[in-house]
Amino acid sequence: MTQNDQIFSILSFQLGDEVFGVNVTNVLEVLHNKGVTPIPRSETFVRGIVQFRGEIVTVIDFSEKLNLHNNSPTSGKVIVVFYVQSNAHSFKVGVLADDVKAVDQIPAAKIQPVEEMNHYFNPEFLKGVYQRNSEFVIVLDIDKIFSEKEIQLIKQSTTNEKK
Amino acid sequence: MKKKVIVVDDFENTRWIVQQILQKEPELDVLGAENGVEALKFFNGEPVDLLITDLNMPQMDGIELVAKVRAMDKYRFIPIIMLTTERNPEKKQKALDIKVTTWIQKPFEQGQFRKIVRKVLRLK
Amino acid sequence: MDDIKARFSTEANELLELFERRLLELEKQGQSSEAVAEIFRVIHTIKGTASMFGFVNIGKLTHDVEDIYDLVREGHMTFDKELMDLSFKIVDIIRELLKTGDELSSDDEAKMSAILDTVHQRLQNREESGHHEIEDQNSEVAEQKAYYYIRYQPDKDVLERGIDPLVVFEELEEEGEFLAYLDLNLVPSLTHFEPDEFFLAWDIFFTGAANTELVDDVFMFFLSHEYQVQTFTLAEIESLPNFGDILKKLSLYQIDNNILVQNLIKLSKACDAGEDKEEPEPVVGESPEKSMVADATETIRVEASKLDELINLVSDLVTINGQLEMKSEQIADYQLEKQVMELSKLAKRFRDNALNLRLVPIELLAVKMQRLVRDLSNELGKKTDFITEGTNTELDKSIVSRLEGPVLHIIRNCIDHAIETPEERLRQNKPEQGVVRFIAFYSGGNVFIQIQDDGKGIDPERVKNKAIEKGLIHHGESLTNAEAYNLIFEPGFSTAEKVSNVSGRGVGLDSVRKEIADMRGQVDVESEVGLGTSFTIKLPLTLSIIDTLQTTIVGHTVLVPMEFIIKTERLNGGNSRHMSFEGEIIPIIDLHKLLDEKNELAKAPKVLIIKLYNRKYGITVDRIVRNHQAVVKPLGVYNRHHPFFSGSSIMGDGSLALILDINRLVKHQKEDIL
Repeated sequence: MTQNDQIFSILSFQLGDEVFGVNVTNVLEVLHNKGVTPIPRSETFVRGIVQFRGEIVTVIDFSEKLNLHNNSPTSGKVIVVFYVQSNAHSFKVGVLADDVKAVDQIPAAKIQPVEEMNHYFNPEFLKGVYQRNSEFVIVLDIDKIFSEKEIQLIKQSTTNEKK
Repeated sequence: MKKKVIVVDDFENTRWIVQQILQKEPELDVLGAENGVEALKFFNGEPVDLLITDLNMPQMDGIELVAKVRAMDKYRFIPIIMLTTERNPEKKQKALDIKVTTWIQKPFEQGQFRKIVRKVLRLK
Repeated sequence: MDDIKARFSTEANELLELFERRLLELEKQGQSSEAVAEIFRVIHTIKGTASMFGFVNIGKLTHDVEDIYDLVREGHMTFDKELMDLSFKIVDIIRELLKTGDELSSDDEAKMSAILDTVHQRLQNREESGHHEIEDQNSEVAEQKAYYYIRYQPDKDVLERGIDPLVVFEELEEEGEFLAYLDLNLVPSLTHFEPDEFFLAWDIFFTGAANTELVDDVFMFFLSHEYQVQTFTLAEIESLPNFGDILKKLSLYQIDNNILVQNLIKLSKACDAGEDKEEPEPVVGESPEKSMVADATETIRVEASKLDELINLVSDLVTINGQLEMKSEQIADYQLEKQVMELSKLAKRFRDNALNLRLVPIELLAVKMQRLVRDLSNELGKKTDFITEGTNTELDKSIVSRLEGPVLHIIRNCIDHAIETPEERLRQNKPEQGVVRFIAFYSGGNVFIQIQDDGKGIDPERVKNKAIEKGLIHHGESLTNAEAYNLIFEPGFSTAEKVSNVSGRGVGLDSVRKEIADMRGQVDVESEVGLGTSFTIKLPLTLSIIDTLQTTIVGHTVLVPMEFIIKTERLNGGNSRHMSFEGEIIPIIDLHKLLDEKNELAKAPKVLIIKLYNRKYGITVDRIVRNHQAVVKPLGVYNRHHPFFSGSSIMGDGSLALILDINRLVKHQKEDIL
């Protein structure tokens, strides 16, 4: 099978004004938000923690994490729980969203690279974009967003903050 | 702790003989089942250490039973001995294809039978 | 594949520890044929199995080293200082290779060839004094001996057939002597790797069995194409049908025709000598009480991950039990409450039992400590006796392994900085040999560990001067001696005037205190100039459950670990920075401000008085709710380094609470002020 014949299952969700998509292999569950316990003095994009299957899962806001300053704030009605696994680490993390829209079967060829266009955030975190009915779904690269490198940056910033 | 062995054969005499032989081993608890359906019930309770099963049985045959047991996460790697009267090498090959540890030809010799069971269970 | 290597590593590491223990014993107590026999046996076993598991370099090393210990065992060589040092180096290099999965760094390569040089030197000296006629005789006999070559290549589905492919080696070992070389050529690239499939194969040479039937018996569960047996004698080895292929595979192990024949001769010798078969389970451990325990109790081995899973389940049980307790209180049904109480009792006992399973004796650190004392004393020309007490004291497994670094660091410090040279000690009328003592004991719900030395002690004046110099305290600041000693744990403080290659690795005692604090423990020091120093480490028995006081602060539920709290008070008088407590002025840590910048202190009605390293602090809270036994859950990857919270816990009603970390809080507060 060549790469372009590959079919991805993409879960799309509404976040503020944008519609984002993620590969379902990264998604564990979508929860109704019954309240997030805030942790004072954490990173701005960290909204707090919730209990998920007996574990503590950090909940973050993608609008903050991806610096989408023009995006309207999310209602945070649902939490998409991701499982991130790489050689270096594995953990669960929750992401706030307004609503989950659909799971689409999208051939790799249909996901087009994001041009410079009008996009106002780090292109490194994007896999591409595809059209679904009248709207565009921006497909995120979850492994990159939650990579060891990204986490490492946070460690540094918290240690610096202390000094 | 004693090891739990499940013997499945629709022929009561075979079950009885196998139980008689294995009862001499102090490390073993031997339970019998008439067919695959009955046998599967044992796999939902306390852990089983060895399955000895006939190939041809009504209701659920040995092949289906083995496949069902192997499909359980807990028993993916359990040792399984298949009893068979089958002399047809092709069918024997089929028993190996469904991933049994070894097979014993019926009628079997007691000493050899015990030896194989002890070896499969790694009893010294 | 990694499973296979890990399997060998675990076993080999245990053997090495035994080896090391015996070496230390030999060094301390002189010749002991029992110890030498065991040393030989360890190397023999490692040699026999290393190449079977693909550890080429270990196989190569132990192959030559074995001869040395054989000579010692036979009384043809003495265990002198050179051999002792060599032996420790051998332990180190094998450990390193186990860690790296048999990869040699260039540094290790140099070390290894140095070891082999010494070994060959010793062996050669030996041979020159005329010993090899016997060898020749033996090889004559070996020429006629029957060997089996077995190509052993289980099918990919072997595991799913319920067969452990490694069991055949145990049986071969029982029947005779064998050499097995792992063939990795069939292992696919990572992308095609199926964890349930088996890709290993071996080339096995075996001797000892009377007939092929016996070999067939060993391989009873394998299909005929999975193992192919050929018999041969040494004289006709080259006529083995695929001998060229075999040699090609063995070249990975740097084995050529000649070496192979040599190895096979040794194999038959070992077999003829009816060589001391390994006793079923070598008793690990030396101290009398330990081996008594080992005799009296039956033990089983359990994978650590299974225990972790059990602890997780127990934690969930405790959490749900708490929720149930709360619900039943609301319902207020007498019968129900009674039953829930029974359940709670049972859950607690279950929990205590489960946590006990993870406890291991601190003994596990003893060999490493002893080894460090030995090596370092030698290196620095000091004489030090190392005494342990209470090493059967048990602690959570994860704590014991995390304790290794800090404990070794302190011992390193003792020998490097505290213990004087023998000359200096004699001048001061002290015994020539210094003493480092390691004592462990229980007290309350804690384990205490003391590390004492009889060295020169810490001079508080010197510490103060140094602290002023480093800007840690102000000139003229008055400090008690205890406070002065505490300064040595401050970051940026190091009493070593020169950076020695021993202690001065850029990590100071501050890292020790930090690591201990991360385990919710404390470390303290006391000292007497001229007499010695004593470090005391206090640790909880387990990390997963702690007793806390549940409080609320500006809407947050915060759990404060009970062991630090000495009293709860109302806040009256004092300013926002200090308060008076039992006639003492103590600093206030304003949690309200830390949790919510805009908050005003005046609203806080309650203060918790806590004590950390002999210093008291007041912590402001709004409300004290109740005692709560908290199952500690980590805060998650984005808050691993939170300035004052180090965990969270699920409460009875399903809500979440944050666990305050007193060590971090105090540290954060200090840095904030500075």
